[in-house]
Amino acid sequence: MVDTVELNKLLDEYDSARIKTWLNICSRCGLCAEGCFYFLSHNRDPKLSPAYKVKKTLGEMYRKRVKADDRFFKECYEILWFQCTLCKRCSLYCPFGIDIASMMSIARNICMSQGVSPERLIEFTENSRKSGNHMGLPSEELIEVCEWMVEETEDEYRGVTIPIDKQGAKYMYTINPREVVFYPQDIGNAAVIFSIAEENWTIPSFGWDCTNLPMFAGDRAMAAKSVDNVYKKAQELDAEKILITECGHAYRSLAFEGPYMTGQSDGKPPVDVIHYVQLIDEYLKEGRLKIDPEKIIKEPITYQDPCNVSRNGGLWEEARNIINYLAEDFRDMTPNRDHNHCCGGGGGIMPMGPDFKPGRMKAGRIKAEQIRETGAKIVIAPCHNCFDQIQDLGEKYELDIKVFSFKELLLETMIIPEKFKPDGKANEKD
Amino acid sequence: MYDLITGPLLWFSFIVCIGGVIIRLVYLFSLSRVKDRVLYNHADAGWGLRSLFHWLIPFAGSAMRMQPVFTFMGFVFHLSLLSVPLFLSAHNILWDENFGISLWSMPDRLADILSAVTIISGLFLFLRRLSRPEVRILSEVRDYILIIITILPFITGFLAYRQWGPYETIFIMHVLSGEMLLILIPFSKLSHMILFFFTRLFIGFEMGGRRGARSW
Amino acid sequence: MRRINYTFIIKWGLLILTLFFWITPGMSQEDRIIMNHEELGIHSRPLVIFPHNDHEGLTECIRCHHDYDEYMTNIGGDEGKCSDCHQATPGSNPINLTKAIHIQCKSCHMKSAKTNVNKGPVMCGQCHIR
Ligand code: HEC
Ligand code: HEC
Ligand code: HEC
Ligand code: HEC
Ligand code: HEM
Repeated sequence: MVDTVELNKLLDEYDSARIKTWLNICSRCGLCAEGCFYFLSHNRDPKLSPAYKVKKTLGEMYRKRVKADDRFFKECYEILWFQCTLCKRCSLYCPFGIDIASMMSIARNICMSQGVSPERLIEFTENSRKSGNHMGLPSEELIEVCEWMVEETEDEYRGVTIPIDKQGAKYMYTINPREVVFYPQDIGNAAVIFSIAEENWTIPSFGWDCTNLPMFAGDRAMAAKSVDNVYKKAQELDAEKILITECGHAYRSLAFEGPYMTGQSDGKPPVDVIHYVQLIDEYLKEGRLKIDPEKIIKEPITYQDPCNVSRNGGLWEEARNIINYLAEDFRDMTPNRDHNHCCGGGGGIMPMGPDFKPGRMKAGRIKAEQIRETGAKIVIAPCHNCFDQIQDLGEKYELDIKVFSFKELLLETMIIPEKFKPDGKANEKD
Repeated sequence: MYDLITGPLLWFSFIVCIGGVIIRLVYLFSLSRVKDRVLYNHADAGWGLRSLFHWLIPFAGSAMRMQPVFTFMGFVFHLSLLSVPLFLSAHNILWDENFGISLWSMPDRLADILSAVTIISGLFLFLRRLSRPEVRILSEVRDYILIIITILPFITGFLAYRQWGPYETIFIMHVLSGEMLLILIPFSKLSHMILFFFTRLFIGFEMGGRRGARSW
Repeated sequence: MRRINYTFIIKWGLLILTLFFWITPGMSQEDRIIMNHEELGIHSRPLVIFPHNDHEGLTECIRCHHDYDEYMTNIGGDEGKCSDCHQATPGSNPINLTKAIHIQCKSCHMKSAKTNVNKGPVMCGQCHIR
C-alpha cells in the first residue's frame, strides 16, 4: 500500500525552486542521452535516456501525486536502481545544466519512504543504524584488524603504528567497512604510508565508516546520521581534517551532500574533508614520500576517474600528478577527467548483490571498451566500487588487466627510508 | 478586428508575458530563499559565468560537439527567432507610431531570409523530434504543438509580407499567433528563455563553486 | 530558363507611372496620388496609391494640409507636400515623414473602422499593395 500522506509530505518538502524549474523547462531535446553510459551501452535504447528516466520517476510522482500506486513504485525501482548510478554525467550534457542525478536521488528517497529500495541496501542501512557502519562491525573488530595489520607490517617495515582515537591529529582517517572485512591490507598500506610520511593521524573507533549506503538506499535520515557520526567524531577528536580512503561516493557524501543532510547553514562540512588522492599528491609534491626511480612502473597504465572524485569532486589533475611520479607509460582513457564514464559500479549498485551483476556487466561494456582501447595492463582506481567493478569487467571482457589502488602502487614504488627498514633486512628487500 | 487585436489584446498579451515572467521569477526566487540554499551558499561568479558562456557559444559545450547539425540548427533557430521580431522594421514602425520608441531596424530583405531560416530550422527541430528515438520517446503532444506555435508567427508573417494568400486573414492570424506565443512564454517550457540563465548559473555554482569541477 | 521577376516589373512600372504623373502639368489634384516621396529613397514597401478625391469629402482640407502656430493651433497650410515640413529623418519637425503620413492616415482609418462604416485600410499590405 502506498503511504500517500508520507508521499505528499516528501513531495512538498522536495518541491524547491530548482525542481520546479528543472521539471518545467526541460525542452526534451534528448542531448542528455549522449552523456549516459547506460544509454550508450544498451545500443542507444531510448528508454535509458536520462530525461526519460526522470520523467518516468520524479516527473510522474509530481504529476500523479496521490494517484501513484504500487505498480508505479515497482517501475520506479527498476529505473532508479537498475538503470542509473547517479554518476551525474548527464548534467554536463544538458544545455540547461539540469541536475538530473539529483532528481534521481530525490526519487530514490521518495521510493524508500514507501519501503521500495534494494534489499541489500536496506540491510546495510539497518546495519548503519545499529552499529554506525554498514557492515555492522563492532569497534573491537576494527581495532583488532588494525592491530593485526600493524603486526603484518613488521616483517618489512619498522615503526608502523595505527593510532586509535588520538586527540588533535591532523587527519582523522575514515575508511570503507569493506576494507576491514575484505581488504585489511588496505588499512595496513595506509598505515605504512602515514608512518613513512611521519604524519599525525588517527583512526577513530567510531564514525570511521566514510561510506554512505543509506544515501544510495534513499534513507535520508540515516544518511544524515552516517555523515553526522563522522563529523561529530572529528570534532570530538579535535582533528584538523577528515581524510577519506580511496573511495568515491564517500567523498561525495562527506564533502558535498553531507553538509546539506546535516543542515550546515553554509553548505560546507564542519571539518575539512579531503580525499586520499589529494593527500598522496601533496606528499609527493612536498617530497615527504619519494619514488624510487628504479621501481617506476614500466607497463602501460591507465586511470579510472571515479565519478565522485573527478567529475563530482574536481580532483582529476591530482591523480594524474601522482601517476606522473609512479609510472612511465600513462595512457589516458577517452573520454577522461570530468567526462569519464562511470564504471557501472556506482550509485550503490556494487554492494547490491548478485541480482545486479548481469546489469552491471552489461552497462560496464563502455568502460571495458575504453580500457581495452588504451592497451593498458594496469588500471588504477582510487575507489572501492570502481576497483571491484573493473576487476569484474576485466574477467568478463577478458581485458588482461590488473587493478590497483594508489596505496598498493605507492608501496611498491616508493623509497623506504633507512630508519623504517627492519634491522638487518635493509638490503635484502626486493 | 484590427483595432481589437492590435489594441487591447496586444496589451493583454504583453502584460501576461512580462507580468507572468516577473511573477514566476519572484515566486521562484522567494521559494529558493527557503529551499535552495545550495544556490546561494556556493555562488561564484567565475564558475557561474563560465557555465553560462560555455553554452551560449556554439560548440563550446561538449554535448554540442556530439550533435553538430542539431547544434547548428538550434543556434540559427534561436538567433533568428529572437532577432526578427525585435529588429523587424514593420514591428519597429508600430512601436514608433504607438510609443515613439524603436530599436534598430534590419533591412526587410534580411528579415525575410531570417524568417525563412527560422521556419526551416524550426521544421528541422520538429522532424528531429519525430525521428530520433531518444527524443521522440520524451516528446509529448504539447512539445510538437509548441514548436508549431513558435514558427506560426514566422510563417504567417512571411506570407503577409509577400501578400501571398488572403492577406487580411493571414495578417490577423499573424498577430494572433504572435500574441499566443507571448502569452505562452511564462506558462510553458518557453520560459527557458529566462530561466535558462538561472539553471546554468546554478549548475555552475553547484559543480564549480561547490565541487571545483566543470559543468560543460 | 529565366524566371520573370514580377516585383521588378511592378516596381519599375509604378516608378515610371509616377514619373509620368509628376511631369504632367495640372495634375496636382489628381484623383489618385501615387505616393512616392523621393526623400524616402528607394522604397522598401510597394508604393501607396492614395485616392485623394475620395478623401476630399471626408474632412476639411486643412485637417491634412495643416500648419501650426506657436500655440499649436492649426492655421492651415498650403496644399503642398508633406515633405515640405516633415523630413525623412526627424529634423526641425519632430515627426518624420513616414511616421507623419502613417499616423495621419491610420488614425482616421482606425476611427472609421470603429464606427464600422466605410473602413479605411489599416494593415500594411492594404495600402502597400503588391
Ligand atoms: C485625407 C487627407 C487629405 C485631405 C482631406 C486633402 N488632402 Fe490634399 N493631399 C493629401 C496628401 C497626403 C497629398 C500628397 C502630399 C504629398 O505628396 O506629400 C495631397 C496632395 C494635394 C495636392 C498636391 C500637392 C503637390 O504639390 O503635389 C493638392 C493641390 C491638394 N492635396 C489639395 C487639396 C485640397 C484642395 C483639399 C481639400 C479640398 C485636400 N487636398 C484635401 C491629403 C489630403
Ligand atoms: C507647413 C508645414 C507642414 C506640412 C506641409 C505638413 N505638416 Fe504635419 N505638422 C506640421 C507641424 C508644425 C506639426 C506639429 C509638430 C509638433 O508636434 O511639434 C505637424 C504635425 C503633424 C502630425 C502630428 C500631429 C497630428 O496632427 O496628429 C501629423 C500626423 C502630421 N503632421 C502629418 C502630416 C501629413 C500627412 C502631411 C502631408 C499631408 C503634413 N503633416 C504636412 C507641419 C506641417
Ligand atoms: C479623415 C479621415 C481619413 C484620413 C485622414 C485618411 N483616410 Fe483614407 N479613407 C478614409 C475613409 C473613411 C475611407 C473609406 C472610403 C471609402 O471606401 O469610400 C478611406 C479609404 C482609403 C483607401 C482605400 C480606398 C479604396 O478605394 O478602397 C486608401 C488607400 C486610403 N484611404 C489611403 C489613405 C492614405 C494614404 C491616407 C493618408 C495620406 C489616408 N487615407 C487618410 C478616411 C481617411
Ligand atoms: C493607410 C495606408 C498605409 C498603411 C496601413 C501603412 N502604410 Fe506605410 N506608407 C503609407 C504611405 C502613404 C507612405 C508614404 C510613401 C511615400 O510617400 O513615399 C508610407 C510609407 C512607408 C514606408 C517608407 C517608404 C518605404 O517603402 O520604404 C514604410 C517602410 C512603410 N510605409 C511601412 C509600413 C508598414 C510596415 C505598415 C504596417 C505596419 C504600413 N506601412 C502601413 C501608407 C500606409
Ligand atoms: C513574438 C511574436 C511575433 C513574431 C515572432 C513575429 C514575426 C514576424 C515575422 C517573421 C514577420 C515577417 C517578416 C518578413 O518576412 O519580412 C512579421 C511581420 C509583421 N508582424 Fe510580426 N511577429 C510577432 C508578433 C507580432 C505582433 C503581436 C504584431 C501586431 C501588431 C505583429 C505585426 C507584424 C506586422 C505588421 C508585420 C508586417 C506584415 C506585412 O508586411 O504585411 N507581429 N512578424
